[in-house]
Amino acid sequence: MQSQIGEGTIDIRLGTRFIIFKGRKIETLDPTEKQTVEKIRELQEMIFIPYGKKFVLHPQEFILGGSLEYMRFPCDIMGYVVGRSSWGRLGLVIETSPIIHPCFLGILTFEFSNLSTAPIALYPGVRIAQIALHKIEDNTKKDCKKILSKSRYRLSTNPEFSKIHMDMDLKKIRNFKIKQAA
Amino acid sequence: MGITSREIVVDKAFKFKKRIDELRSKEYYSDEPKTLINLFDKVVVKISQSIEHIKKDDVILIKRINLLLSFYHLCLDEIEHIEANNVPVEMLPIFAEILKKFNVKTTLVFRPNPLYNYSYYPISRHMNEINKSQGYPELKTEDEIAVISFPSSEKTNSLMHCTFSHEVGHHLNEFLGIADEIEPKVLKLIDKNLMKKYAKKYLESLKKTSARIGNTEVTLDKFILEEHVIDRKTGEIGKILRNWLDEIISDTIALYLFGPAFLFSIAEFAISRQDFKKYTENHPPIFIRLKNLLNCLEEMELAESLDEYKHVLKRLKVYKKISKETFETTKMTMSNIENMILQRTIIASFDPAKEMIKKSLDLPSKVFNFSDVKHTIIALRNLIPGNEVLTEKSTSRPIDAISILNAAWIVRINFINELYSQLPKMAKKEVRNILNELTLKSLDLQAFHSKMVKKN
Repeated sequence: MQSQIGEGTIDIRLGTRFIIFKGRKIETLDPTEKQTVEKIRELQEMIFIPYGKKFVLHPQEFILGGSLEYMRFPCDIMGYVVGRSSWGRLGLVIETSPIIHPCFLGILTFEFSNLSTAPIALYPGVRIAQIALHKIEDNTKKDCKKILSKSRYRLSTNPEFSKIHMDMDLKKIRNFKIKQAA
Repeated sequence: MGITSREIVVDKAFKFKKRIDELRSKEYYSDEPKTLINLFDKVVVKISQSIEHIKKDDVILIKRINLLLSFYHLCLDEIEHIEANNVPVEMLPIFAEILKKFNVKTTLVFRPNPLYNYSYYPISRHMNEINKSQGYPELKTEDEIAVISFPSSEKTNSLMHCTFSHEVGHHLNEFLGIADEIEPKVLKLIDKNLMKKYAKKYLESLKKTSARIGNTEVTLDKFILEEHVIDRKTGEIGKILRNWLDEIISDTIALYLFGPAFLFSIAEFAISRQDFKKYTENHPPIFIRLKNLLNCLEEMELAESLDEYKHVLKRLKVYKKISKETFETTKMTMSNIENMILQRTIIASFDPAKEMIKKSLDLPSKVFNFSDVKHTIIALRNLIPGNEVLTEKSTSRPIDAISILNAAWIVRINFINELYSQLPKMAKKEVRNILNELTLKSLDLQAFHSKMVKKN
């Protein structure tokens, strides 16, 4: 762990599970549709890569991965996940939704894209990303239990599939669409 | 013109090869399943080569090869669904480590079982037996491979998977020949008086039926001597006792390797079936198994370590109550006498079995150590994986996997309400599942940490 702590960040390592895309039957992924959950599961698949073996990410490919580290954030700390520049220089883009909220509990799910022209080998256990921590200046003590109960991606030990179907505004749009169609 | 039996066999070998190719395309948790697939491939190539030289009218050889191929197709069924996604991969390195500790070079392959059961299948040994019996001793493999199955519905139930240690215990028992060595001693423990009483009852029951010989009606007891009844019944009971002895030995090995975690897992698995006295020819009743495990646990002197966990102690008391069940009754019916013989003999075998296990496994140096358990308990109670201990030099060292599993069981029994209260909007079943997943994550991190420590 000591070697992972840098000047302003902490390095995070890659876990053993990945979510890959395999859907060939799905025409569109429309999150307002009722069957979004089923479609996501048809589109994506979790795979396991043991330590010492590699996952080869091909150019233009997009996958999800997880952090090896499991984290529990206190109520007055938040964090940002950013890629490591050494990987970025190879064409690997690591995160598109970088905020870690206070009271977060679980592993991080990374979104990987290979923007280079050569395949990149990813080994579980390598230092893949980094987090920068920030203290929140707030006098009110936050109730982690409450925050945790509202959190969508909580206590996960593996990368998580998207839960976009839980967005309330998407439900409203779906109802609006139904009314329009009627 | 129809298809010949030779062609049927040729097709069967061809289909086998195709199935092998399909299995190769799957994602496995390690190289172990591939070892088995390669072995099957090697065998079937040799069988296919011999088919080429068979004459159409060599019915016996064709039948033999047909039987062999049917067997190998069944073997493929054994490993049909062993991809990484279907197996609790984080649990598996523990068992490879155990075998390594005892210099056993067996490859273990784990497979989900559609039946709600854990089982052990020494597949390579069975292959060698079949190959030899069908006239193909040259197909003998030197690789030792065993398949261990678990209920597919319990894939992520890391706590219940401590039961794997019992199946590994079977392998160690076979490998070290423990039951073989003590079986004769155990058979000598059979109560001769009870056996005589059984024979008498049996002969009495025969008096109720008669056969006509010429003009005379003769009761059936006249056709058999008491000694013959005793011999035959001793043989039958001996077979059951041998199977039960295998189970008792595997249980004891599992307890020595896994500590109380094994006891909790096997008890939960068996007690869910409710009937504590139910037994089969292969498995003794749960009350007898618990009696043995509790005796061993007492000797391991873990009580002090468990003292602070009152719910754990309460649960042990429940097990103790179950273990006091008995087959002994005042009714001297044949089935009761048989049960009494089985019960008394198997209980009398506990101590000799234990001593032999200790000797064979070179115990007590490998007996379970409880010292790191508390670190994982603290972590899991805080909903984080507990895989390492901070040392005085501000570095950390990994906690061994078996301590992690024991800690997880203690949290499950003693602190589960505390976990429920931390996650109030979550269903209890979900919280229990989170504990299972956190345990798997602890094992994963532990394995990684240990590997890194070794490499450095």
